[in-house]
Amino acid sequence: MRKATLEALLSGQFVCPVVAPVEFEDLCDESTQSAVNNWLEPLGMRLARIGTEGAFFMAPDVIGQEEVKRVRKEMQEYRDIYGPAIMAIALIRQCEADHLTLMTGEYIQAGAIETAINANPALESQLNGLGQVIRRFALKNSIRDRVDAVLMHLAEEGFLKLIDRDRSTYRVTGRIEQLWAVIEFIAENEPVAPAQSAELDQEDLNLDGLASGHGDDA
Amino acid sequence: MKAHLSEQVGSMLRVLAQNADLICEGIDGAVLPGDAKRNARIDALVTAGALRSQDQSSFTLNPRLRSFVEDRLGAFQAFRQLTRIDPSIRHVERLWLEMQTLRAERAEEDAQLLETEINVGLADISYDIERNLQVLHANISSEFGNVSSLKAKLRQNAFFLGEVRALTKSIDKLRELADKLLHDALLTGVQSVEVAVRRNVIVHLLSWAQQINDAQNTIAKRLFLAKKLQNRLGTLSRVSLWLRQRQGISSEREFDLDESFNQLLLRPLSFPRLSHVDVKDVEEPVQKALRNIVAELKPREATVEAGSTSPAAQVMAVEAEEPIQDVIEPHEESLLMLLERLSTPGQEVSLLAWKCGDRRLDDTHAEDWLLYAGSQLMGEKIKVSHVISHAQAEGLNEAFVDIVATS
Repeated sequence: MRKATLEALLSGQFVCPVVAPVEFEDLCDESTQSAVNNWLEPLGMRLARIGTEGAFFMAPDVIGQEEVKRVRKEMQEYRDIYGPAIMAIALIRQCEADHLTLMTGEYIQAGAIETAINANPALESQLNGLGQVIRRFALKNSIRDRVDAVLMHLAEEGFLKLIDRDRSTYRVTGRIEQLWAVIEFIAENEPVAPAQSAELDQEDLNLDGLASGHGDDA
Repeated sequence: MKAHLSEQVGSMLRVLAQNADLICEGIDGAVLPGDAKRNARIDALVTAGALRSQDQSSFTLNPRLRSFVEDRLGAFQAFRQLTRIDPSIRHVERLWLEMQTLRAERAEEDAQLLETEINVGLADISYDIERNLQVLHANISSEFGNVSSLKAKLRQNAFFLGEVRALTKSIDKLRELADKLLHDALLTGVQSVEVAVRRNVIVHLLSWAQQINDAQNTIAKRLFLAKKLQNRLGTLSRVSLWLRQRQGISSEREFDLDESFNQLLLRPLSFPRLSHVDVKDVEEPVQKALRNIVAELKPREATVEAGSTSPAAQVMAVEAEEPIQDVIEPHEESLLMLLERLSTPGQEVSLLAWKCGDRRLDDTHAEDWLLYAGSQLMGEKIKVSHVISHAQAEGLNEAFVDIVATS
């Protein structure tokens, strides 16, 4: 087990191949997983993983009232905590609808988003709507600067990682799965418009008996 | 006959080689006529059967030739159907029955021809299955790279899942045929068919079944993930729209949650770490590290850096650099001398006379001296007496003109 691996987990990071490739590789090793759990157990924590191939993270060993209380409070304030990021990734997705699936490891380029917004005034209006919730976002700035502000916000929140500053190229990190979990929670618990028939039904999801794999333990 | 055939094949391959650029064009799309020389080359390819006239003004590549190139390079078009092997299986089955009939009729020559045909048919089936697996592998490994949009990938994934299922059923049929042929060939002593069945089918069956099973699992899993992904993206759009519509409306609601919530909702917190060096640790590596740390420490600066803007610091700096020295004034020096004189018992000194006799007191007024020296001597417990001026004794205050100190 590498020192940096444990440090990354203890600092609350989602250890994925995009953010910490070496530590991720380390955690894929079963002996490291066991060693990490030996460290985390006395702290009341354990090593957890998103699905069977996703990011590793530190989770409470047992979910108690304290954790329930914390999640309840965070969900109560989800609009402030997650709202800006959800609206930002929805905009990015709309700009690159044909190619982008917002899965871990995908590349996002500010230039492509800027081009899409230039070609569609409705998208610019949506971009400007983020002005109230995104840091360093100023309506007087160029579209590119506003797009950069949105991407930087997502990077600061840990959902993207800047990999090329000159070209403003980012990669989606493993933490995006946490945002998906929040989005699903909102869709299930708020009076959001129901899914259209074109979307997937449960029967399709049960294809060939494959089971959902979110939040599986490492 | 054989030599003639070889010559024809050689001639055909030469035409293909000489016009390879036009064949490459045909792979990408239609081949269009041009100048006379180009048209002559196109005619040569049409004659060789490599190009076919599509309409008056364009030519397309022979589909078999295209298929051969695709097989070789593993570059398959989107929604490329897998080769159906059911007709080939039925054909081989029919040939076998016909051969049995011919043998019963003792038409050995015709039976021999059919036997060869069966061997070729089995080899063809084997080739087609291998090719189908190649098509599947190419599509799966490139994640359906021949289409770009998620929806097209999803449709193609579903399409190939259907194709794989059909292929699985065909292989089951082939297994049944192979078992039957093997059994009958052993009974009737048709060794070449038995060998062909073993070589082309039996030895590959297990591998094919495994590969198809893997492909089916991968495709099904991807289809599941892709559908899940599509569902997710739809949810994202709906939730984002809902949030945008409610921007500016302040409302908080409490959700009814219990311990069974999705753990991803719980943001991982960080554990703060603070470590201290154990200076009592006598281990040599620790001590060495400590010595190194101390050696790297900068010496403490004695004075405040120049340019400091704090007035207090400036004062302190001045005090540190120029300590106040005790400067003895002339009247103090004179007083010290007087005290020394008075230290001898029985002495009586007029302070006015002392001032007149001491040049250090030239700049000091007689009145100031008398007041200063008189109070200082009284402080030293020396007896002083004031000499009153009788000329001014009528006033309210008695004025003195001198002080006499007596030790």
